[in-house]
Amino acid sequence: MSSGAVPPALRLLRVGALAWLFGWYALLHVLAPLYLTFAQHMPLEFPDFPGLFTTPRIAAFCYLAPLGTLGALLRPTAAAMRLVALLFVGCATVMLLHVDSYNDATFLVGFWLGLWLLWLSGRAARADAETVEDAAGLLVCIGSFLFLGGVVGKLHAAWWNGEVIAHVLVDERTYWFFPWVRDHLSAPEQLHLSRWLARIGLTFELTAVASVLLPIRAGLLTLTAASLGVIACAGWTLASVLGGFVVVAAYCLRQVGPRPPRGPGA
Amino acid sequence: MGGRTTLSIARRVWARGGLGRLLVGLLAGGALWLALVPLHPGVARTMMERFHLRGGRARWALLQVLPSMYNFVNVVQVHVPSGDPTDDTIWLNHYPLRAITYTHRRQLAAHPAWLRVETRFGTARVVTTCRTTPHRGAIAVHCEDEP
Repeated sequence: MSSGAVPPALRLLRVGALAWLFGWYALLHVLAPLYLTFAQHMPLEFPDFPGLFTTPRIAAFCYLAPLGTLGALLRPTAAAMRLVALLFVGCATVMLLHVDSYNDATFLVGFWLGLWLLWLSGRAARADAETVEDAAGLLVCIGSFLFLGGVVGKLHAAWWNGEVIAHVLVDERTYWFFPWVRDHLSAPEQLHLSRWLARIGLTFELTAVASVLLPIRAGLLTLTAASLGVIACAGWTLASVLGGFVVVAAYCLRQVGPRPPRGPGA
Repeated sequence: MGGRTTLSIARRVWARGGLGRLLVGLLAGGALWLALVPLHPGVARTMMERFHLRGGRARWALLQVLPSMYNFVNVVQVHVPSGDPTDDTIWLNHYPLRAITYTHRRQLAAHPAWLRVETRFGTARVVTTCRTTPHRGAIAVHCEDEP
């Protein structure tokens, strides 16, 4: 099947699935040792959790299982992509409820992006432009929703005055520019920088929330730029949360909205 | 920059029914709940208890699909009675119990330890105390709500 014969919605599905996998495995070097080694040797027992969600092998399996879909992505069909999306949603749901992985927003984004792929797989065979526009619109809605969840819990003084960022990022992170900050800035300077990082980051998030109110191309562009801004503030590890989203939003940006008119010889 | 607005597209997807309607409905309902977090103390407390794995498994599972990145103030004090002589205070971006469930920090739970887990949001405060105990090749975690 040549790429030209693939309906636009199916091409978008393939890009979306690859972007989903990119985000899911962006922190493979951190998460694989946790699920395959640490958790296997030191399993946790929480009295109220069902056994399914405390068994380390279940989390390890659900983390690695999406790799098995790579073959289906080489020659995508609507039916195969529906199964891929179902697997993505299923694995993300288990990871969200499992005691080894419940805290990681990677799997929350995987859940919502998986639902988006599942919905799109139902319209994959359609060749109309409306389907891709609908997909782009839903993607912006999901992105705006994800950032709304981040914003509402930051509306307190300890965020605004930089105290949270100073402890969580500047004191703790061993990557990005945070080690340099610890080595070269005094404590008051670190707090001052943290204050502005917190405020700039919150501004990016509020902008991303507002993307749902904009025309579709502006919404996609805003969501992409705000996501990159948040990654720049907090560090590259957020690529696992937002990286896949950025990829698929950038692809949608190329597919929707007014295109430049083609000349007669084009 | 022209084109339809995102909200008008969402209305169109809703009108078509099926899974699209379910997805738009879930997003709208979830967004309404999230908007109440800074406005309604009960909603905020529910979300804070979720960070402590409290509030009943069914409710906790439902709330798990809601985003909450870097929400609230989350601080964990770890005290190890034997072994490491120093107590440790850890600030976390979210889900403070990840101090013992996540990556390299799980080794904290390899010895008997006591944790005081606190989440703050404005004047609201949720505190949980947990004990970790090695138990038949696993680490048993027992937590109690603090009023």
